[in-house]
Amino acid sequence: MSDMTASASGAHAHDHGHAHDDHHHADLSQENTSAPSGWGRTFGLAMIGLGGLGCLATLAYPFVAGGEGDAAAKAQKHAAASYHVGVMVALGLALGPMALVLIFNLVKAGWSVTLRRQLENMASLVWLPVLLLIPTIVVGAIKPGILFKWMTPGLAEQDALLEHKLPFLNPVFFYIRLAVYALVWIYLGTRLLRYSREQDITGDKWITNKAGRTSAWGILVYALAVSFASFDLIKALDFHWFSTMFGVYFFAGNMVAGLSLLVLTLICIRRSGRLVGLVTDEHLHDLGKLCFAFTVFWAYIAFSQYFLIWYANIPEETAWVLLRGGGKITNEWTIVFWILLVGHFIVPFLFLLWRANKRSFTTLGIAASLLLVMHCLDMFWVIRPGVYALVPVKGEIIPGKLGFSWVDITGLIGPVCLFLGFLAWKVGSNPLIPLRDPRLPEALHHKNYV
Amino acid sequence: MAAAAKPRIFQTEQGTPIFGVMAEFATPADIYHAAEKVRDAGFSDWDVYSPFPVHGIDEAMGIKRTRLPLLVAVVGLSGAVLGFGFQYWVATQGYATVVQGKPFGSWQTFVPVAFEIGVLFTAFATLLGMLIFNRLPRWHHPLMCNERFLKVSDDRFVIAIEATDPKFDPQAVRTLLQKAGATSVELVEDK
Repeated sequence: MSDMTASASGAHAHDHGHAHDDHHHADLSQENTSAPSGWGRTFGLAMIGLGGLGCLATLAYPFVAGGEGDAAAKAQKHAAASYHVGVMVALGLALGPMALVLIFNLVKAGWSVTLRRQLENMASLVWLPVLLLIPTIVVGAIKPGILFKWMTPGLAEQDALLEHKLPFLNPVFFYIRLAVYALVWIYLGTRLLRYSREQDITGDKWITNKAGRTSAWGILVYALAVSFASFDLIKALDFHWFSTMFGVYFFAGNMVAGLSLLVLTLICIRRSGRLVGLVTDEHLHDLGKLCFAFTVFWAYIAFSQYFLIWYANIPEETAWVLLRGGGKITNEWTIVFWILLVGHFIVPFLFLLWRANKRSFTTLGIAASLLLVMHCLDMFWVIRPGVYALVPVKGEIIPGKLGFSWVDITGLIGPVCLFLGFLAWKVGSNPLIPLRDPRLPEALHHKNYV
Repeated sequence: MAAAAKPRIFQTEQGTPIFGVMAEFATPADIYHAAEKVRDAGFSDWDVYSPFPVHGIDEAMGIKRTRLPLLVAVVGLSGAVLGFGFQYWVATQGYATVVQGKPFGSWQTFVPVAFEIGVLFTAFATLLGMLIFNRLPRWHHPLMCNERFLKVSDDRFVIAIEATDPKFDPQAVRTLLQKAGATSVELVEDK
């Protein structure tokens, strides 16, 4: 039988094509659209406690592991870098979903309405990683050069490249830029959630248009803020290096991590018997496609960045890759490089290629967990070597040492667990979907037809 | 088994072969429910024709998922491997040239072209596979000679059950379609 039936002429699909009426009557009751009372409280509190402990332990590391002179500086740098990895992962978990909310509002997406609330929750939590950045900045201002080497006093006189970059890379302008990013993100994150919550209560359909208008200028400002923030907060750790693709690289990783967190959040909510018939296999299928797409996109960007550096072979650029074990001369970071290639691209690519794997909570959950871990490893691989791998030990520089320690774990789980804890609280305190969004019916009837 | 394998040829009194039976329906809902009935009656060689896509008709007709993705994946990945292998052969054996002092057979240079050939093969496999699975292109279809059928590009919905179907029987099919709510049923000759 033919594969192309029922579409004899190229007329467009519209509503009178809706012949059958087996649409399960979606359960929009309060029970199905709100988390059970006290939901996630234990988990949230545990996560916040764990995150707090992680942050404190990271703070304590220099005093516990430190020593005199070089060893003390090394321990301080190690702790600062590990904490920065955690903060950047947490920041990505808010920024990735923010991009999705902006896009959904802009393109008037219908299918994703029942997923949007969780994304709005995540995006609205952007204040947390921003807040967690403050200790880094304060420590950096008191003892310049611990994390951001370019801040080291007097370095510009010895370093022609830094001197050249000074008009951009100077502390005052740096702090102003960070403040602007923080304002943009926090405004967009809270504003978009507030529009959506307002609509839950008033049912005013025009709020959808207002959110769309905010998203129109918002996405532009967001894109600039994320790109420049990736330059300032990550790329500037190796201030000799330059890569014009780095903003996109950061963005792609955030999208993968944000989508993965969304999948895992939905699994947790569904396990408590909520969102039945509101988030279906059809939504999951499309989420799986997005995970797949951004995994490929990440690999595409990562390879393009590597490829250009490899081709041009400019010392300032290749040093970055060589330090991270991506060159012919391998070092301890080479293993991370390969784990990323296999675990962040090849395995999820082949796994998510299968339709069935995108349509089940179990299999998509496995993929999402893997991708989330890989994103953490990606940030570790990008950030840590630049701060710590080149620290002189007794006057001798040994490049490419992994130097793994417990602080790498506490530095990561500190900010990330705090984020997850606050997310659990957010999920529990807002309705699980935008209750009165005018495009809600579209999401309830969503089907893939493939 | 023996009875089913026996070739059955249906023809008119004038000896023209019969293509099948065609039934007209007035609305998408009608054709949707009629398709369910034809599906449940166990027919396999039949089709629904409509002026626009009718949502959910695939399930109503009981169409199985296409095997096209598997073909596309195999051909696409083969294309990528082939593209990579060919470049590697050229760069190391066929026409080894020093470029930028980089080693012969540097895998990095081969990735973009291997990727693009993978995409190209994927596109070809999708298009050609779709055409082959649908037995397209074809120059002629018996239904196109039917005056009433042409209305399907305007406001008519048609189900045609073909004579090649093992369950085909002109009288029984006619009754089935009439019971399913057809506004008109007629025999289509294979001219």
